[in-house]
Amino acid sequence: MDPMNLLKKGQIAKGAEAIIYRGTFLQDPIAIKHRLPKAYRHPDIDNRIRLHRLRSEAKVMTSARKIGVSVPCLMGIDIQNHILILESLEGKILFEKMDSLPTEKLQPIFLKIGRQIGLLHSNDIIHGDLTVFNVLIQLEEKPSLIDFGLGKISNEVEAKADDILTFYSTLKAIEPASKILFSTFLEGYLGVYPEGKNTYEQMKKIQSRARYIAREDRLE
Amino acid sequence: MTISEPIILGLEGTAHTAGVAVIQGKQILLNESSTYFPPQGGIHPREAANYLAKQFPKLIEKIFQNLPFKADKIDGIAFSQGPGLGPCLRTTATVARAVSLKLNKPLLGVNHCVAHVELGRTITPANDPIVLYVSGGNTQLITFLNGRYRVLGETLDIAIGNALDTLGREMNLPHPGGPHIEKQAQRGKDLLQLPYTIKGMSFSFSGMVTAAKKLIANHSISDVCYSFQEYTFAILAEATERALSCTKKGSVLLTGGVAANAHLQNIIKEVANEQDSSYYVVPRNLAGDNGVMIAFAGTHLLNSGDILPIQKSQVKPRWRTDQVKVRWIP
Ligand SMILES: Nc1ncnc2c1ncn2[C@@H]1O[C@H](COP(=O)(O)OP(=O)(O)O)[C@@H](O)[C@H]1O
Ligand SMILES: [Mg+2]
Repeated sequence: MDPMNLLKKGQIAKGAEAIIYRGTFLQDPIAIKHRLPKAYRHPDIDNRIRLHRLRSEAKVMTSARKIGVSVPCLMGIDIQNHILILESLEGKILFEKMDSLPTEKLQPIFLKIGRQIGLLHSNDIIHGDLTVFNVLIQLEEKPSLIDFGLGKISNEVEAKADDILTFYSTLKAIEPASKILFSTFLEGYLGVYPEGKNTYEQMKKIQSRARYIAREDRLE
Repeated sequence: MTISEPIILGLEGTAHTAGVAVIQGKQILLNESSTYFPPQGGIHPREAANYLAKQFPKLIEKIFQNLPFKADKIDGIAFSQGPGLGPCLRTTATVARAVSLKLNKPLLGVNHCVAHVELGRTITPANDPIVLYVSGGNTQLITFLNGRYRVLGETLDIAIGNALDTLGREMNLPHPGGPHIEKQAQRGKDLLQLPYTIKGMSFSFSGMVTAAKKLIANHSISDVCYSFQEYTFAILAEATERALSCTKKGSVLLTGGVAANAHLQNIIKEVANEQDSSYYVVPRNLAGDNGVMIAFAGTHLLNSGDILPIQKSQVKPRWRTDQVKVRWIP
């Protein structure tokens, strides 16, 4: 199968980094993720980044799947063309989902997301780009994680703290009820990963290090 | 329009620039400023504040001499209430209160970061953009959402302007280093490797400065400058592209002192292209801190009735962009 032929199939989404095309493989729907070169950066930087992220994404996604975290199955990788072939998931990204649901309906979803991240971190897997745009909510409100290009394997508490701080920051930027939803997320996180309290402590440290943090934005 | 638009006096003084301006609506009537350059090293807050205290009376006198109408035509006194260096903010606030009392006109407390955004919204066609705000003291990705300017991403340590100036000092370039680095970079040929990190839409620069410093001993200054710009600007570009892609806002506005960098302008223009978005940049002479932007933002405060009582006019050194209630945008 030549993945470049599949690229002629319909584009389904354009992320910041990649274009996602839909195709089929043995009748199963697949998503083809193509990281495009960016003209705005030096070609050496561009190649270095794209190659590194392609490899990380393949490696980290596979590790996450092994421990039972819900991620699309990796079906193929084409390093020359910067392409990943993934199982295609049906659903809406969390950001869109948040538009259509009230806080009470969102809470169970955030609990489940917390559990998924707890599982990830208890196995020393870092997502690296944990935003509300990289969680896909499937049928029956089941969250799956996508976009592992900035992911890595690490037992460092700092890296784990960065993950949950990124999640909190994007949440805070778009959602008035961010504090409630984040504490529900934490409940799920700590339930699966009790040592996660160190992650949370570290997150608060990073926050207070950052400049101009408003008192009301600090978490107790 | 039957009622003429309000005339606002704007006072900027958060760090090393004293700026005084008078505007009416979208029109800049008068604009004066002067900037303190320390003989060496970074800005010392007290010294900068002393400088502002000396400059403000001169600038204000000049403005009042050139006013095309009587001073009592002025409808409001806007000043930068924060964020910024405490001593500088206090000096500016003292001046603003005095003018407000003397003319008996309302005081308007402006957030400096929001003012950079409002400047762009007033003098470019940008209406609801993703704002890349790059200056010596701040680096943020900002956009309007649910009544506030939300910070989508920002530096986790030092601002890009500060990073450029620090590196410039390390290479004995004249202060401020930013423009000199830009010039040197044009002669750079070899791309030297530097760290590249982005966390969500946030980033940090101090590690990159440290890494770049280590290159100075064995490489030409122009290659170090070139590489530092390529890497740091690539990170800003990527964060901006993510913000555009996530929010689908469809336009980007580049503002703040570092927005005067032509290479950064080209890069952000390409990012806008990449995301089918329009691109706007504030004019070079208004990219850095100035009184005009404070006055434009002050106009909005006055129009939405957001007047600051003198007894509540204490400065806010850590006032965040997303704490401001933006009542003037529906
Ligand atoms: N496996 C998948 N199944 C279905 N849709 C996907 C899948 N992977 C990505 N997408 C869609 O493509 C978009 C961009 O993918 P993502 O991996 O996040 O790339 P980027 O790095 O460009 O953000 C996602 O927001 C989602 O809508
Ligand atoms: Mg993504």
